[in-house]
Amino acid sequence: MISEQLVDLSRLQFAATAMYHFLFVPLTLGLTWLLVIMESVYVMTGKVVYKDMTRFWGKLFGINFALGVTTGITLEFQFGTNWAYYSHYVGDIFGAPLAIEGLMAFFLESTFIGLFFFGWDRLSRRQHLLVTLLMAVGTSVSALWILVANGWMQNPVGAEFSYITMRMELADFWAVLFNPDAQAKFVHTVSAGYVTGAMFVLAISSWYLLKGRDLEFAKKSFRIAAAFGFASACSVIVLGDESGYTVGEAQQTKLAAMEGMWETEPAPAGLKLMAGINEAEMRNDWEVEIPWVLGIIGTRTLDRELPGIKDIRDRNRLRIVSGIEAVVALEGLRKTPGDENLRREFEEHRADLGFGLLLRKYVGSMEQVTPEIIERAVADTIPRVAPMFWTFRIMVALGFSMAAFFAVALWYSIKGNFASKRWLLRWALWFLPAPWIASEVGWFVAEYGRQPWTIYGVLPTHLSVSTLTVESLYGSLAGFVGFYTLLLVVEMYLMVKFARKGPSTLGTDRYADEAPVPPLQRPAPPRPGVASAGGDTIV
Amino acid sequence: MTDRKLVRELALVVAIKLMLLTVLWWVFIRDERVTVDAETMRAHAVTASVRAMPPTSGDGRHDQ
Repeated sequence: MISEQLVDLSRLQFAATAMYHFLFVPLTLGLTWLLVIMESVYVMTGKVVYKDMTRFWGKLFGINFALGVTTGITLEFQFGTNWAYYSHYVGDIFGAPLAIEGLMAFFLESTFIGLFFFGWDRLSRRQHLLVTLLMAVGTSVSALWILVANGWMQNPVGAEFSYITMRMELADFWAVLFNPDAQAKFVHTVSAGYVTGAMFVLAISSWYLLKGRDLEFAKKSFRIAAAFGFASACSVIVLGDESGYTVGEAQQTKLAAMEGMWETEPAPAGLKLMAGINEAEMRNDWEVEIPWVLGIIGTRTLDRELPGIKDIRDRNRLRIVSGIEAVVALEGLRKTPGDENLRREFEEHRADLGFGLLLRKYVGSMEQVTPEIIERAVADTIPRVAPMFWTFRIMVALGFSMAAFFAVALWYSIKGNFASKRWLLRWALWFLPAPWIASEVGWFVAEYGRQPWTIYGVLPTHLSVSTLTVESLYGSLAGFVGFYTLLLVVEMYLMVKFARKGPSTLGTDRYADEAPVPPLQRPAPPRPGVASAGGDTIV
Repeated sequence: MTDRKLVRELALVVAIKLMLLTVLWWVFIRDERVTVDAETMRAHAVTASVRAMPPTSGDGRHDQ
């Protein structure tokens, strides 16, 4: 049997690297589209302050991108080293979107990022705007392919298991691409990235306003971020609802754990705002519930039930028993591939093969299975409820508070008096970490809630890990954590340094800490036809 | 700070990052050869008749 310590260390290593990686990703996702908006306004109005905004926020975007790039590579290392059995079993499907992401989206993104930074004096305004737009598209398409891969882990559609190759094989690429789980995750995740970008711009602009510097620059940045942030925060909530629906369809175990729903409730089930989770006795000691809401979110109906954890366990027990038949037939088929009886037996129980494999955590072969072992495997099919329940609520609470914050910011932005509302500006500063926390706990809910599977219902986590030595895992874990912490420190240092300096880092002589230059002495406009061509107005 | 200085700093950061990643790969990953085929997958997932062994170093042998 695989050592549990090995499984835990492999999971911890992947979780740590993925969570560090996702500190950089949402800001990249969000800032690119804010740059598109700022530059579009510049191209439409010719007001040079919008060009300065694009260049300054683009500089912070560049720092984030430079620090974040390659942090995802270690995850790919780990598929090969720590998750070799996983890679064999599902690499045929899982590898395809990752390869497409690398070949298409990442190269597109990287190429246009280069043009974005070095093309200001070489491209016309419209050409440069097109570059910025393609950079944003590349970033989002990159996220799409990653989330197609992740969506397949949550809801493995369009693939079939082959007992000849002992792996899942791609049967329908379009089913994988248009997997409802993947699509819902994609739009929910990129919207969360847009919120992150908006909060970043808004918080730093608020700081300038609190300090009374670079006022026009900060006000215009604030307005754009408030409007973009409000639209994005509303999208996150609406698309989060869609995500809840797809989870209700494909991952009822995860939904039941997220909701602390031990019993199947009459339709439509209520949504628990808070509850005293008692995992030992499989009940909630107390609950605060809003009637009907969960049933409507999870089923889009008023009459369909959502199963509770106890019923799901009963169902899973039957699937594990059926899965034993599948494993035994599979073993026979490996020895005598032409045996029609075994093939029929296997086909009959094929859908439950993964559940049979859950038993391999405890036994060497199916002959050793006892009712006690089956009960332990049944218990394993439900992730721990308390962490799921509370992290989900943290994410939702942060999501709604950010929507409320952006609504207030937009309201005062429309009224035009936000710059004098110091409480609002301080609120923005304090809220700066909120989108990152929400994203991280959101990923926790998605991935922890998938346990005990790497591929939901197909491949158990404990069978996915490579049989490495515990010592090497401790070493690489320490190395990765040290490496990422260093990157984070450098990122924070550079971001704080450039945010403090503000748009004066552009060297345009128009901002704080720079000697004021009268309009007539400002630098001559660059040669016609390039991005900063004549005809610009200063503010 | 000018853009040129920032570009230099970022290029340095990326270079250090690649170097650190190479060191990590060299120390912890280079020797970890885990080769999986249909038979090792069967032995790993379906039955433990072939016992799992710790990985070998650098010689490309299986970890079954």
